[in-house]
Amino acid sequence: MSAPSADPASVNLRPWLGQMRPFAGLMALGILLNLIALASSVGLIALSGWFLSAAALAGTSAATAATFNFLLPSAGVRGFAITRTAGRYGERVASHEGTLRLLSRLRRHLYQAIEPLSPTALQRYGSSDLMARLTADVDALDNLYLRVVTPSIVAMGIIVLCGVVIGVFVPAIGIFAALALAISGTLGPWLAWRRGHRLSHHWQALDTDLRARLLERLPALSELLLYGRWQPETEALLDAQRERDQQELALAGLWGRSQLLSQVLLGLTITGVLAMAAWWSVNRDLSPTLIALMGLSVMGAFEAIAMLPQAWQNLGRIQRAAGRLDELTERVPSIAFPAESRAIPDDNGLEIRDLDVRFADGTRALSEFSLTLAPGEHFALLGPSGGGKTTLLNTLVRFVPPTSGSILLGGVPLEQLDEATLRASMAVAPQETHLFVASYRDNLKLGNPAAGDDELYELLQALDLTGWLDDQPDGLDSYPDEGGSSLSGGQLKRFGIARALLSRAPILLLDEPTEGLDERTARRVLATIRARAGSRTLLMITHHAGGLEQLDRIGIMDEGQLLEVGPPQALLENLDSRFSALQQQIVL
Amino acid sequence: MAQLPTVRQWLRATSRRAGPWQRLTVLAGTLSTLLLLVQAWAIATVAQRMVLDQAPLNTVLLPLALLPLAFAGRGLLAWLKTRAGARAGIAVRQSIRRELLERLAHLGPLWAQRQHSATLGNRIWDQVDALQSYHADFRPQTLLCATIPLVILAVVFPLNWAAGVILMVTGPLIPLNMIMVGFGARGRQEAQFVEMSRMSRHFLDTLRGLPTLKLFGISRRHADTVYEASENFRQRTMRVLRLAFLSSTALEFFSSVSIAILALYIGFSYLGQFHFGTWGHGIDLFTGLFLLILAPEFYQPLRDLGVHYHAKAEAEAAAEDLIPMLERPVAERQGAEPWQVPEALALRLHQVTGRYAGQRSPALKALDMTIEAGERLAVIGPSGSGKSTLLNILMGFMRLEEGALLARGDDGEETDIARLAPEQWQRSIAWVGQRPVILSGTLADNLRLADIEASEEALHEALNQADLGDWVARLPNGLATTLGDRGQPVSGGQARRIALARAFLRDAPLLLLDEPTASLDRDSEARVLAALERLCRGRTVIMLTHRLALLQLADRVLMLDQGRAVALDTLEALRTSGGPLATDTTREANHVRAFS
Repeated sequence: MSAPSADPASVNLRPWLGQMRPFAGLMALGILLNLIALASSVGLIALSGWFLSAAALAGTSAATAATFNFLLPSAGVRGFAITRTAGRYGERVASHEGTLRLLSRLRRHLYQAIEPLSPTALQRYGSSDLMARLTADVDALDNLYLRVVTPSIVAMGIIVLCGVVIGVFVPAIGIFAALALAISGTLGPWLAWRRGHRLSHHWQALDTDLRARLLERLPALSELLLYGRWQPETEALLDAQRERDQQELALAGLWGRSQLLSQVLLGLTITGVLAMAAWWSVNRDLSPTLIALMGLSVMGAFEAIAMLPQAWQNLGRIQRAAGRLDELTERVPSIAFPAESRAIPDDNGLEIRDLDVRFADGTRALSEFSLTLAPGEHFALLGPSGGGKTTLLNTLVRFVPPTSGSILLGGVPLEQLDEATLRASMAVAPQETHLFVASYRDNLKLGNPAAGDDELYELLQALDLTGWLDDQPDGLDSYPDEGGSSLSGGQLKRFGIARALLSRAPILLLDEPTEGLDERTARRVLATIRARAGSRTLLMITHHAGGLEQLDRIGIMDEGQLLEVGPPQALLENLDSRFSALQQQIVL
Repeated sequence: MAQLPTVRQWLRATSRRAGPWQRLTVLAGTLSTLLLLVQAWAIATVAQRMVLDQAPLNTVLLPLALLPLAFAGRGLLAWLKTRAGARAGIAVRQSIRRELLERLAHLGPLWAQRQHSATLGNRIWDQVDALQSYHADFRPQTLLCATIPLVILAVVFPLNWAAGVILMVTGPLIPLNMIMVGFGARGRQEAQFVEMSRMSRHFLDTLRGLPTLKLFGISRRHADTVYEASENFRQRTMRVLRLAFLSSTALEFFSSVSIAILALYIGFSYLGQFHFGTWGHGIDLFTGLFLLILAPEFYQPLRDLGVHYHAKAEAEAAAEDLIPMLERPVAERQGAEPWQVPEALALRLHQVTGRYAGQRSPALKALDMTIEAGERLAVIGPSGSGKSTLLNILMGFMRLEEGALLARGDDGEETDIARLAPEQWQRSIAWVGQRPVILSGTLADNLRLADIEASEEALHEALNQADLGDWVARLPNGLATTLGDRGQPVSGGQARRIALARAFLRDAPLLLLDEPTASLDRDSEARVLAALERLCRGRTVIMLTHRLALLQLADRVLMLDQGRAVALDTLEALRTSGGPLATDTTREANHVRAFS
């Protein structure tokens, strides 16, 4: 992402933690079972250690060996073996159930946070694949419970338990063990977490840049190869990649050092416990058979502590993800609609008055653009790409706020219409047609859920898509490939037009409906659009001059300004007009 | 076509690129087990001395001194393992990424265009990164799953064969146990990874389609659909997981049971109930505790492997995507005859036939023609007529299926360009396309694309020639102005003229133009035309265009249809009545219509 992020260490995770509230019971159960499994694990090894010591001591004489009560410890050992296994299974089921439920909620929550944002602003804000990053970020957030909260609570529980078990015999050793374990478990990971933020942040910045650079170079492959520059570009990219990987290596080193620190502290802890226990057994009344129990309890607790570095590492990742999501919703403006329309449009005419659109980076997409479309008029706006046509369309659907000027629909300013009314008034085929991973029928019916199959077939035929449909294994019930690659660019475009034409909205807005089509198909598509548009107001934008004679009026725009407007014949006859200049080509 | 390697073969083979790092990772993990022996020895010794020997405190000083050292040593090895693992993964990724980028040059732009550019970028970037954890963690861990248990068994058996047998029978080395554990892990991996990533993709699809949902006025209601879809996924996933966890808990079970059996066996041996397994010399507390401490570590590597299973799934998915690009054989480039870029260049096409991979009929069929040095040839035809194919062949991006493309330089000798390395041949070409590339970087960087060594004067001269002199004079930082994404905006006409300036800098004898004036406004078109006229002087020019103004610059016009030449003559001759481009008399003279 281009924008610098706030300090990830200060990201507030509370709202995200709040999302867990409905599943508190389930999650508590997961934690409890996890605690039981781990406590059994510690219990198993510690009890075994004591059992061996006591049995060995008893075994030194035949009399003590015969009276040694082995029933209780052996039952305990078997019991711990069973509770450990059962606890682990139950914990896995409960925690995954909880995590997945949480994930469903998180997705809805994030969707609701992103939904009101202006799609155009979102696009301008994000890097090449903001959405993929967002998805990865939500997936990261669901680790908060499974990989951060649970292990932390469980580790603390085990440490306390370990301290209590030892403390029953010698309180001083118990307190020392618990404190030392807590410090050894958390100090290293905490340091790494603090310092890891900077490295991760730097890595992320380098990675985003490199990715963008690669994506920019790929479409330029022909030119780069032709001019012999692909090889140097490759080297430059790989060099920069090495710099990024250095950060990764430094991060690995950081976590490696945190492990080293933990191990050293744990070594001192267990040595301290053993030494104290040995001293107590010699100088006080501690039974020496308990030395092994104490040592092995501490060792058994390592398993719980070993989860902490992972938890801190994940915490860093989650904070960065949450930080990005928070920042996104803060920085990208949302579109505000009144709860209810303040007036009802008189008709389906459109009036654009002195419209100015400037983006945050200073580029001026529209300047003093004025145009009035009579109700039912069919109008084409012509101009080179980058001339502001798409921005105009985005302003009409309120994806882009005008810097100044106004748009009136049937005499009512757009801002006075509620979202439902605005959307119901306009059917749009945007530049990029998005096909959802759903059947083609469902994709089409987005335009009009009530449309029958007959209407769909009829429309697809009019748009020359029957050949394509015949190739589909299950007709309209077929699914598009992910990414929609089962339709060619021109077919996808027409599919989008079909979707818009199905809608009953009184205004039709089409972005480049004939792009990627050959001349014959383009004319046929235009004729269909005109026929289906009927008495609706039609505004289509295009940089393709062919076939436009059929429309009521055309306008030519460039650099954000309307340069010419008039009926196509009149413009064509005027040899000085830009429209007639555009026609100076051989049409095959 | 040669068989592509399977995902597993490929992943195993690529791990060799890690060099010594992966071995170092395994070595560090194995050495760590040796230090564990020291730890177990120290703890068991302390217990033995204090419980049975009733020895004074100073006899345990040595084990107590060695114990923290062993821990520190294991910490160091953990650090080494983490670093070496990261290095191994990085080495593999860097090597694969380099190969991908080099491959791309071999496969060429024609191949690249058929891939979605986001998909291609995703492959080169994210899919390669997805291999990291496999090579850094998973693969070393699979090796440790063999070495660590073996080290432990090698120590345990000489001490007590019964304990060795207990570990063996419950251990993961037994195929039956392995299968159960493996089945559980696989089931979990499938459910978690496959289903979860499907769910992620569904969510991603929704987010990407959000503008569409908005335009159709259903975006708000859709929040519940998102939730329901996610909940459906949850139910499906949990059904699989409940079963899968059952078998993956097997490992936990074996590990617990073995400790329990071991403890009972040793305890009852102390109490005189059991008398076997000790090779005849009995068992003391030291040995018992030592064995007990080793037991959990016997299972630890396999439990750790479970943590990294997702890395395997991720890497396998990535490998599936990468293998076709990396392992599909590409035609070897033929020789590299020496070739000097000539002053003037003539071309002869002999039965030139070109076909795109996987297409039934050739896109260009048996084209025969000669283009003199300094001639300007325009090529017209409807889309799909073979114009771009001809251009691709001329640029050396497409191999001929039949025929030959012969170049004649200053010495009058004809050279078959198939015998030149593509980069050799490409040195004689300058190109201006429909959508010239503006890379983010300074204006100078963008111009030097065509000639990296060009001096500032040369850059200014080229800019003047391309009619950009005024523009650059107005730019805040002149040649050092940043263009592209976050820099100075560049209009379509300016981009076209930057491409022209590159062509001036290139100063090549062959100039290829692809609709250089398409979708420009009239003013821009006029300026580009004037610059083009200067650029064409003294060069052999082949241009794809439908613009009349540009066609009028051409000496001859080649008309293609369905891959064949249908006419080759001057524009005037083609436009005479009865000719294929006969002027439509019902319109103004400058509106030309032709229907073929």
